[in-house]
Amino acid sequence: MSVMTELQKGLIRENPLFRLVLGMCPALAVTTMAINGVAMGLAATAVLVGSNLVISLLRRFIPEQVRIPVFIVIIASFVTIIDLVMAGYFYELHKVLGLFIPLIVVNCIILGRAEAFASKNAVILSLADGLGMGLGFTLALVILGSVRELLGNGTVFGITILSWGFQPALVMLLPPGAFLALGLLLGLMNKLQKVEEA
Amino acid sequence: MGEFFIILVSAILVNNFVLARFLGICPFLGVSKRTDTALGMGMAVIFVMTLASIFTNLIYHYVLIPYGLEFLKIVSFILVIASLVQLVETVLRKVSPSLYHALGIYLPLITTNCAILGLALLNIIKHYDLVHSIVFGLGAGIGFTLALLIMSGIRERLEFADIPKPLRGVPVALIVAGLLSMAFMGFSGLVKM
Amino acid sequence: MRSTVRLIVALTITCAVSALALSVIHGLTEEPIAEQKRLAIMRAVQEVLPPFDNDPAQELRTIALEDDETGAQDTLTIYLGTMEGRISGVAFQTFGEGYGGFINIMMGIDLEERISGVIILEHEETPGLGAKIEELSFTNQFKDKSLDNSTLVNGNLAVKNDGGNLDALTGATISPRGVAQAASAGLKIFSRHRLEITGEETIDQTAPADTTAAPEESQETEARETTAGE
Repeated sequence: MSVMTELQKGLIRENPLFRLVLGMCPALAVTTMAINGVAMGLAATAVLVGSNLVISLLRRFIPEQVRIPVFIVIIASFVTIIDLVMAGYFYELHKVLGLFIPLIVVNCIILGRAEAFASKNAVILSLADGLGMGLGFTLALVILGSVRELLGNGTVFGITILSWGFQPALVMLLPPGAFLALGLLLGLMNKLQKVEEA
Repeated sequence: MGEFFIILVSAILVNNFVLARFLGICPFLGVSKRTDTALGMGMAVIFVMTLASIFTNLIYHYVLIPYGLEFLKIVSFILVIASLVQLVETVLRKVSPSLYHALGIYLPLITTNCAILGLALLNIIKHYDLVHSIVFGLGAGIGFTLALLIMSGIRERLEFADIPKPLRGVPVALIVAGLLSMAFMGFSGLVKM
Repeated sequence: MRSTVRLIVALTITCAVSALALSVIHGLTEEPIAEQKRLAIMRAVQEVLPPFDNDPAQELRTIALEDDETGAQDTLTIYLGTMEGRISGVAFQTFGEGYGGFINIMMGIDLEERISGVIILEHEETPGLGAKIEELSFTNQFKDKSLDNSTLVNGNLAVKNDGGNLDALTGATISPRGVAQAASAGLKIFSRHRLEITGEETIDQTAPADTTAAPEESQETEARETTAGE
């Protein structure tokens, strides 16, 4: 169990969105553009790293019976901090992500990692786990966002890639497109994993 | 009276919490495999959502605002919701042990159901007073249950279909959700909301 | 019993520390947050005002809106633009009803009661469709429009589909309609409260048929407008 292993696993092998199938609500909602995926991913990573850190530090002091409420308060506090900081210094991004910043609190990834890892492991390892999972989540969001933005608008990160003759499929930017894109991507990931295992 | 109807129709059909607002996806995918568990989960969610609307509204307007503590809304709301879910769990264990066991892990997971916290926050954003919040909470819960029921009906039948291996389980469920979402888009413009 | 006390203590300490930490952060970010909101509004104000050389943030008036004018607000904050000491135009926010909710715009009006600019501040329209009202290619068409020089429908600016002369968007009529509604409401508010805001009489005063000197508020201006608009 080394720091590097913990860091790497969240990126691909145990990617929270594509493999563990967690954090779907924000994934579907904000990925109308790749840049939004980056913003949400980094915000969630900040909360994840912070909460993993604190929970790991306090793991011997938190009584088992109240651990879930305590975890929740800690996570909610970090989310509030991120919310306030973004409103004060990253106003445009804050407006774009809107409701889904506070909803990071109920992002199952964060509570899930707190319960499964941070409450049982040393601080450095928990930090690595949080960072890996968070970055993996960000990566997944960017991929999903890029697909939707490309097919729905012809651009990726605002740069026009497909132009003449290409009619954007507007549905990709709307709710149905989100579901379809994620479903097909998950199917693709499954297929790739089978190929890898074979 | 009319505006309550509009809020209900909007929350159930036009801006369905699951299919249009992307709230409550985890339980939506997790519990929609069978219709009876779906119905049970739906009922629990309607109950929690309506109560959550009431309590978060009261706390926000009678505690947070008077003391200038709006920035504590995320922490206090989620604590209220967690307590409510705990309450529902205890009540359900006594009243209907079979449902309690059928729902299993998904019952405490209602706490992390973003639909509930999302509802509480939306009530604030829309400046709904207590009565409007309750109606909105009811509508949100009913909409969630509706989506869940339709989904479970379809998934029960999908069990017998020959789905390509990579798509089995969550991927095909998401694709079905996408089609449902497209169908529900037909409701937009039904009410101007 | 002791263990229950321990549980309660643990939870209470966590909440207390959390509340403390958040109060600190709140205190630190309160200013920047208010500043950001202010900046966003002032940026919009400066975009829509007719040419000015002052700092509109320093020149604002607040007026009370009358019952039939209030949509989402009872009072209106109006920013004044001046050129060489004389008022050149005003800017304020108004609302219209869009497809997904209210559309909040910032509009600028010059002294001839013509629109000098429209910027969409907030909306809940469909991305890719109604949301295109944000684009300059749509909002620019509002420039120079007034209640006198446009084809009005029921006394309001309207999109071509409804008989007016504003372009709508492909595949989205309700969103542009909402913007037209907001813009019309704004023009009417300015016309009605003009004296209050700028200290100048309404332009209708120069109409030969009317000899009323000091412009009476509301009713007279309203009546004159509707007859002029038909």
